[in-house]
Amino acid sequence: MKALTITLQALGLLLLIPAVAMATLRIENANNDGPSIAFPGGTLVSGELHIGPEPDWRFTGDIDTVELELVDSGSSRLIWIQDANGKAYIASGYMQSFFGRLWKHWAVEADQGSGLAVLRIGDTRYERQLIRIHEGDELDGVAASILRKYAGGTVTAEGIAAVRAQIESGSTWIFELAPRS
Amino acid sequence: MSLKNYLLLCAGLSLATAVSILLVPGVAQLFETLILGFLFVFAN
Repeated sequence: MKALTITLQALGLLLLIPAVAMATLRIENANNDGPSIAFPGGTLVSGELHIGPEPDWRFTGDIDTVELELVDSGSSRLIWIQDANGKAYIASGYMQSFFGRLWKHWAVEADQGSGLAVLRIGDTRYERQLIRIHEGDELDGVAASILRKYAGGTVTAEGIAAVRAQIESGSTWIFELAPRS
Repeated sequence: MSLKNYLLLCAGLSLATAVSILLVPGVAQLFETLILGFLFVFAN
């Protein structure tokens, strides 16, 4: 009985510390001008708002992460960015696992909400409309971009087909960062 | 350990964790890296 009590007490402490850490980090970041590595921040305030012609998003080819704010919730997160055919896209993986959906809840929010977003790259903010792309040949370019930037850089037809299959099965969600109409 | 002492230990550790994250440089980043590592493994 004593051994069980000690085990349960130790288990409680092992769960308590990560829970306190997560709660503290979440609260600490919630109102910041931008996210931290793992926790959402608040509304993106600093940076000039881009006004003018639609950019050619190929310039994001060398950029690893961008900051994305969902207007509905006013929360922002750090996210990978892909470009294909001059357009920009973002991906959310692990969408079929419990932890994945918990971690990537923003994607559910974007899909079910208005999809209005603000993207910040460096010191420039871009007003965007997130549009989920479920299927289609457009995904080949996005898959190639994912492979090139985040999966070792080797782009093969098999690799593209595998990533596209993940997207079309719903395991990875892709959103186009379209201009607001 | 009595329940009272255990709860005091929990409270102390919680406070120490929160304060170190808020005030000690690098601790927040360490916890974030650990949490990200956990998510990358278990979200799969």
